[in-house]
Amino acid sequence: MFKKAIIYISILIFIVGANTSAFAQRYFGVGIHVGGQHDVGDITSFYPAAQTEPQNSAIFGVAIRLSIPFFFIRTGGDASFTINKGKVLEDQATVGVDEYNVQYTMLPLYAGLQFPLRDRGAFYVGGGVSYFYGTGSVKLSNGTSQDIDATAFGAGFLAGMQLHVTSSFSLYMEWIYVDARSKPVISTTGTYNANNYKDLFIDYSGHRIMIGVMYYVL
Amino acid sequence: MYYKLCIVLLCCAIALVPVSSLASPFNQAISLYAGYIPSLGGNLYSYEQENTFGSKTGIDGINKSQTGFSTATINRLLGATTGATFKLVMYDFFTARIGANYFKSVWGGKGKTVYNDGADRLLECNYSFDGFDIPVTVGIIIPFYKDMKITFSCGIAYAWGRYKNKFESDAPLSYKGQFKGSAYPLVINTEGEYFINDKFAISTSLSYYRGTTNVIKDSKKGDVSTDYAPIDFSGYRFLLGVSYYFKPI
Repeated sequence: MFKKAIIYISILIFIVGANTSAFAQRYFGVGIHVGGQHDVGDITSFYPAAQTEPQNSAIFGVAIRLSIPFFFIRTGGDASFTINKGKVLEDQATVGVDEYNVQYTMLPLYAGLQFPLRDRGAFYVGGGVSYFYGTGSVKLSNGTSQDIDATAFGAGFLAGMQLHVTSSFSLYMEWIYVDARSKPVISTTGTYNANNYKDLFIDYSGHRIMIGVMYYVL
Repeated sequence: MYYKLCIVLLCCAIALVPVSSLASPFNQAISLYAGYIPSLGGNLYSYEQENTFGSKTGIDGINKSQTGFSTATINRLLGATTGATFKLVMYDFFTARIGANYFKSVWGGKGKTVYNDGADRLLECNYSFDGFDIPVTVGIIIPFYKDMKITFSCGIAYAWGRYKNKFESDAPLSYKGQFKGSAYPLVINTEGEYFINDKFAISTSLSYYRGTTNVIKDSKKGDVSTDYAPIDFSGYRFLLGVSYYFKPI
């Protein structure tokens, strides 16, 4: 009985909040989100003929958002966690890499225009930059392993939508694309690198899809 | 090339003839905008980079380092772009557009790496890219009251580009390449416009181009090699601008 009452009251607050008080202006919000990225550390940008099993990662992050009616700034922080490692499936002796596991922290800074959909939500598109700090490891073709310690800076864009569910809370979904590669940080051991240079860079480029909830403080 | 371009422009002009009566279901607008293009020209692959410097992935793979050499990372190009688009709006929900854009690399493409020609050598690299394109698209508009419009359109562009590279070492060695060519990349564009009044709007858009030329022979004379490379117009563009509608929306 008590549980039912809580559920009914919660639904009532949600419906009333969504229909009456979602008109409030939203200036400053803090959100948390989860998401994912496919083909993290794309090894084919290093060796295009490599047959790979791409790495997939989950992303957990915090978003900080400043907005006025048609302009927004979005920053925050994201951390990636490996779902499955990337593998080179064929010709590892040439590529010099057997397996790789890239984890990174991303600090984004984007700004652009937002398009309020009356009191129901907003659509927004912005451009900007992201800073990456990557860790993880690369298992080389000679059986040894090297740790990744690689930073990069890249440009990209962000597109997203928000659905205002109460006067203070919004659901959001974002797509971030960034183009970023580190300097060479690993000496691969394949025949492709006969001179034993540091040649393998970490490619942070790619698309990220995220979904989360934002609380508007102001 | 110019013959094809004239046909494209003529067809567009016929399609976009202004119908300026107030009762007409047509409206026209002009947009001016500027923005940037991450990874302009893609990885800028050329044959000589693979054959002489051991990079199968152009500017990405040419980056190498070695103890004792003062290398500096060569980043992919970041391009700046600016242009204008003429838009025909039909029955509030449909649009046909023709634009003209200029783009040029403004950051990246310079640095030092190492290569081996029997001995390890420092190599100084320079890349640049510029060009223009004329996109023609058709699409759908979703208007939201009198405040804003969201538009999705797609089509094709005529794109012309010029890609230059230069590699110098103390071997002594100097390779210079210049590649000029055109292609017809596919274009997808999504745009949002926020109306300040009934004729002016500020706008932002994301475009994606996908298209590459055939492999082009190096037109630079006077160095030791003849290089070959495609010109890649593929990539994303982020734009901010303003629109003026000839009739109130």
